[in-house]
Amino acid sequence: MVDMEINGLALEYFGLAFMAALGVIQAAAVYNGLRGISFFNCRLRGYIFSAVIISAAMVAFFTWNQTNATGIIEGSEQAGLFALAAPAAYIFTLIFSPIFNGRRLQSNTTTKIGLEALKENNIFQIIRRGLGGKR
Amino acid sequence: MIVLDQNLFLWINGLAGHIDFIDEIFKGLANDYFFIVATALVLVALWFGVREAKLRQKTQIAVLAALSSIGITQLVILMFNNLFTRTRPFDELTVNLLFYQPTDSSFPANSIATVFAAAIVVFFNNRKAGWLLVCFAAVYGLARIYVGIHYPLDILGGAAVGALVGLFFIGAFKLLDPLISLLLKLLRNLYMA
Repeated sequence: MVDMEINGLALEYFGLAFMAALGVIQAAAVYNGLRGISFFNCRLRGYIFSAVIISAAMVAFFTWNQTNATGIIEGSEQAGLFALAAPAAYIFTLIFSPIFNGRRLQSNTTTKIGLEALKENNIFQIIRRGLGGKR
Repeated sequence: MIVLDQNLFLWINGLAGHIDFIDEIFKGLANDYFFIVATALVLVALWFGVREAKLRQKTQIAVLAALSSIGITQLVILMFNNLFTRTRPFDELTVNLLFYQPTDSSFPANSIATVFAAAIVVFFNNRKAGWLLVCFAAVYGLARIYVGIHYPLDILGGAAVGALVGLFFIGAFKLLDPLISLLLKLLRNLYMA
């Protein structure tokens, strides 16, 4: 029973950390011009989306002790869960942002690597180009 | 010094228990999650949010150093707690307790050490973000005293531990720069940096 409760808390923590990290990544993508991982073409919509999900997650963290009266997540567990949630949010962004930006970026090319490449193309366009596939 | 510490604690904690709304605000600020997650999110923002490539590399190195110093800070505090234990304020004094009762040592404040370890490293790279994290640590520390679970000296001790470890890693990462740059190059090839 206690194990199930702790697993539930861990899942909740992971979900909220994932949401918050996703919001920060989207805000950074808009600010930094990382069009390859932006969900939105319009900067304002991007910032609003980020503000909403970051705020929702942080309110949940702020009221954590009220909504979860028993059980805590230890510091090392928190570190591990956040270390999973943040990369998961980035991978989610990499995989799903092409749904929103694929058509918008299809005529772009880049020879850069890393985040610089994601200013011009999404990850699937970069991989396709790397494999020598058609544009 | 201990008497001064206790008196200062009693003065700050004495402000609690009068206005419910303010107590609820401090309970939220003092919890084990809010400011820790906020600190982590600042690191995420620094990782992705720098426009210029060269500056981004320097900032990402600072983020890696901050993460390392957070990790080592936990080990340092664990070792410290094996040598020295200070009882919590609610075990020694009559306090307005607005929180659950932690069972580990009061000194040094682990959570403040965590935020400060990141703050010091980030400060030397990005003043604005560094000051933001220092503000987080200050408010967090005040909240933990207000709700009755830490003495002011615990907060200062935690800040000192975090700051010392952070400074160590600033130096260490300068020495390990070729290795860290190689790691970042690998992460760039994976489109993660």
